Amino acid sequence: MLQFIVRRLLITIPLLFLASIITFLLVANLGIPQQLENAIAKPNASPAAIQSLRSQFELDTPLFTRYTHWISHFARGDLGQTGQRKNVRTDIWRAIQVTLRLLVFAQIMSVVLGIIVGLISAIRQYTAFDYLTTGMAFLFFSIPTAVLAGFLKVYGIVEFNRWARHPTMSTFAFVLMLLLGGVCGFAVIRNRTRFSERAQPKRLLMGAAAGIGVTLGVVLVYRFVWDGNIYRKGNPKPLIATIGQAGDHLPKAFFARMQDYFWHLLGPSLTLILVGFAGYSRYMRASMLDTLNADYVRTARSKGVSEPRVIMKHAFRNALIPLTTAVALDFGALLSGAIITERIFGWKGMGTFFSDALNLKEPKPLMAFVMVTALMVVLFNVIADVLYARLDPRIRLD
Amino acid sequence: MMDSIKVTSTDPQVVVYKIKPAAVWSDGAPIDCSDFYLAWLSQNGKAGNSKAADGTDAKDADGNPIPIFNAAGTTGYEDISKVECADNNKTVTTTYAKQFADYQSLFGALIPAHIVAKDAGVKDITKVTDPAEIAKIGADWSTGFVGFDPAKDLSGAQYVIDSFTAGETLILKRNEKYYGTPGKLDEIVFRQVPDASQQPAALENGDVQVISPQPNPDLLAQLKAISGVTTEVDQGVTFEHYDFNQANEFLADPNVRKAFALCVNREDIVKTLVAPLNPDASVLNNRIYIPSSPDYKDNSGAYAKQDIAGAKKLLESSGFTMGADGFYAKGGKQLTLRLGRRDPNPRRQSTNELTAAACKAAGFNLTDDPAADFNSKRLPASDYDIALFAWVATASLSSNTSIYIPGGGQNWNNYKNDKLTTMFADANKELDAKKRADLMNQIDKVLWDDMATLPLFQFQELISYSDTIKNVSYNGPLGVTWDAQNWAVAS
Repeated sequence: MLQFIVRRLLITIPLLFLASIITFLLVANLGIPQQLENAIAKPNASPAAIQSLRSQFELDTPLFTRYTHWISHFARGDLGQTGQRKNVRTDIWRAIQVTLRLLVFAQIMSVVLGIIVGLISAIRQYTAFDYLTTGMAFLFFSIPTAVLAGFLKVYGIVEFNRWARHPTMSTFAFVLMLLLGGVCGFAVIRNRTRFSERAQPKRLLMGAAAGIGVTLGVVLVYRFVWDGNIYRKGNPKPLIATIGQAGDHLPKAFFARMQDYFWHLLGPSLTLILVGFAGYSRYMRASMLDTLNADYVRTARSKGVSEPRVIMKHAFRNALIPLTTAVALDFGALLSGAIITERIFGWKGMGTFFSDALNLKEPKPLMAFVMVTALMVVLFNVIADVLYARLDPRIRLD
Repeated sequence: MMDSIKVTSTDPQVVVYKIKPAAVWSDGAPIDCSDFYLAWLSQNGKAGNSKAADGTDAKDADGNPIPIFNAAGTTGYEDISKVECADNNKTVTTTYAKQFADYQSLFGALIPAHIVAKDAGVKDITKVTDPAEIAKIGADWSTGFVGFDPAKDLSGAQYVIDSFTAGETLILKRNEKYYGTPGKLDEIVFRQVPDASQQPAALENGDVQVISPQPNPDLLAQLKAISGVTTEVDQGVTFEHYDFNQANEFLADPNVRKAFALCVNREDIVKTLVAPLNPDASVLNNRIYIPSSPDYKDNSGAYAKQDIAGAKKLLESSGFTMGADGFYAKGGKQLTLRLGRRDPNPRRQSTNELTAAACKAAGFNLTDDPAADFNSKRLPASDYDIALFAWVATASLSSNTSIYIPGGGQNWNNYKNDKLTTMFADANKELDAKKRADLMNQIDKVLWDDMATLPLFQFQELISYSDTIKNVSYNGPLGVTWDAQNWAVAS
């Protein structure tokens, strides 16, 4: 195993080297950096200022010398400076942290949601729940991220904040919520008794009543205990932010800071969760159906193993193997940033780092971005392989 | 900050600044003559280059000398021969070796001299003569203010920087040491919203209260639909224009340039491309001044309106003959010209399409010539026939010089009229603002007569603000936040 990991990591060195040459050529042919272009376009531009920018970007140095210069610094961990003399390593490290904050939360949520939904819809194949989640998964999977994020923002967050400033609930909405609660309770009971016995009207009615009761309880707590005041009174700032990754003044206290992060995290992560969950739930459903129909599961059932045990121990654990790979690979790829989501919610993560660098045609940040993300993808590929071998005893790495 | 700024003599030019006795930096140190002296010392270009240990000029990686002060420009300051201090350092007398009419553009952004003096270990900056001490001052001036340091980055105005997070926020707080009427808001936060199309939602949600994005019709419609928000569109200071490369055999002939100016339907271009943003938008008829300036004059004369017949007459008088294909030709060569522009840019593309269609009637064969590196490479290399791009009409009028005089740094058109060299020289040393405006308008008139360039229209600028904030107004090139000290929370 250790030998395998070392071997894989050693292979990445020539791989990254090759990638660096290709991207260096691409970046060099992007055209002159925007900063220089702006300097030239200014009336009364001084030749000395233009020349000093040209030499700062090493535009008069031969390509090969420029490359050796870059790679010798890169090998020593120096990622260079931007045209504005900002340290690229500091910048990219900040961007990675921001992306990680978004990614870890969104990825965990979408994996957990995906597994739960995929599992249930595989066990209860062709039920209303299965059809509903399948429909939703396809909807979220096929909707462009920009549209989804835009809708979430304008019709979700902005409207919610507007309501949260003066929270009221109409009788109609109240009755609708109770009804919904009833239907949920009914569905849960019906689902539980579906395969074992014929549904008993009395139990179903009880379930519906329980659903209504729970909903009523929540509404009453909201109304009288909480007084509808989820909004910080007297604060001109909205509760859920649509722009930025943190508030103006980040609180020092841990809990308050986490709260601030959370309200900024909600919009973009909800977008990523909906898209990610759609994919993972389909993945989980398919692989769960595979294992449920496998011979060893039938054997287990015929040996009289209890249904929960069959599902959790025999089917579920094996169904997780392909999902693990998908999640590990996705995580590596997503570290390069969710460009569209980040842009729409004004986050300064890896996606913005890249698109900014590309727009400004800044060579050093572009190279840094490509190298760091390439490294991440390779690394998570290795992790996926290792995990695969750990989970599936049939696979040997050496 | 100032009690008065007076020109006490015009030959030699002497400008006397009287600083308010109470004026102080946000750390309590007085704003005084030494700050002016440092501005002059650092930007007059006379300090020379840095020395290496062995006494020779230090060189950067490419072998170029490194100046002691890495000033962006020396314009104006280089003409000042001395800066003298008096009255407890509160009076500054600047004497010019050569008249400089844009003196008002100088001493705009001062760097606190007492901070530089402390860092460089110098007692009084105004009395420094030792080259070693000047080198130390230069080092701090050039590199000591990189990044944000609350102890060094002071303010002499109503607000001072509280904190800065790169790419996210810049927070200003009220300057407690300010000597005049304090700012009304406790704090002003500048938040970066990188995608302009997300600014309306941020404004509606209350994430921000004031925005000033580049306008486009969709954005404008979106902003107008938000309740509780005021949106204004005004004519900005950046203006679009066609430039003629006179190295081109056709464009070297003034009649061809004039015929082009007559066939372009500038009113139609404004109506189609600019009026959807601002119904009050107008054709620009001056290259130096914009209509909001009191010195603006319509110098366009015969070029004010499209005149196809006039264009044809001019071409025929130059010996062009109409071919069977509907285009003029001379000496067997069709009148074909490329309209260069930066790509992608939908507005410029539409402008060129409108122009090509309008001038087809006058026998011009015009083609769109888009290039991604048009502004950066092809413009400076004079690699174009006709170019569509924008200049900024700055208050610093002398910066127009290099665009139009023979041999000027931005005279990419190969335009040559020796009369302009003296006219600009006269205008640039005329200290009487009214006389100077007359001179500048005369220059513009010459540019119309020669048809050196054809101004089209100004870019529109937009401000939009929540009704929870009052006293927000459009301030032209100074930006919407220029008078932010007057902003207040609306009750």
